[in-house]
Amino acid sequence: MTAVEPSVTAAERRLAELDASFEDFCRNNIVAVERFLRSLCGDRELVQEAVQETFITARDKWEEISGYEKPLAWVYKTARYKLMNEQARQRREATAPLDEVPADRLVAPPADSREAQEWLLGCLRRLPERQAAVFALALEGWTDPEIARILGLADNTVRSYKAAVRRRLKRFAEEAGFDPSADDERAHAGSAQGR
Amino acid sequence: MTVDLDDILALATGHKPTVFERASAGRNTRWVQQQYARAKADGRDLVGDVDMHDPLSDDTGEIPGSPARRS
Repeated sequence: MTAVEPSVTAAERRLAELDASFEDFCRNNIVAVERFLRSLCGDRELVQEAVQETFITARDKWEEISGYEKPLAWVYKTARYKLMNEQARQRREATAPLDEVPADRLVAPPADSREAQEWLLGCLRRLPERQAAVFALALEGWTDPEIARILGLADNTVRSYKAAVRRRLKRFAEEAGFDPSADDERAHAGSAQGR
Repeated sequence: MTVDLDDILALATGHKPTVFERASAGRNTRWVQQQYARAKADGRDLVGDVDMHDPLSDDTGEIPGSPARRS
């Protein structure tokens, strides 16, 4: 009937709008979310799985999530949760330890942004998961209170984790031999072996 | 040649998606949409035990400078 047609059209239009806005959101953020999970886990397959499951769930609830002030905060939180679930499932099924990421070493400083990013992700994976998550989110531009909410931590913990990660990264850079402060320290210490 | 940590962090965070990465994002987005459509057609529960609460709108803390939020 003609009386029904306008509301059907409006519903269809609304669905199409939701579809389009989700597609934009997904295309613009899926790489960053994957990068975040890669700072926590070296298993690319597991990361891909968690990212895809997260975005499929986000699509299902997009009408609700898109109304959040920052839908991406929910996506980061959920992606981490999905990854932890996947890791737990794999641990239950695995006979050998998983995700043993070898220490990342460079013989020269990163030459470009891609190398720098890979080096950084490798370093973060060597750190406690929460510390890595805090630092990865900070690098993406989230504020300390936002990071605290996304990860369920206290604001003070976020600040102390960020400082701890910086110290560890500094040490990794020194170990890789491309941080100038390392030269100073080695000079003073005589030998930095075994630190 | 030496580089300090801040230089490396600036380099890493300044990484702009390459053509390949943009294409990959587009492919992944299409894949997500297809899997979503398939899961809906199969009647699969897509939310499960996922917390749908907006993490930034909680009522127990406050974000300085942020307006009050509704979920």
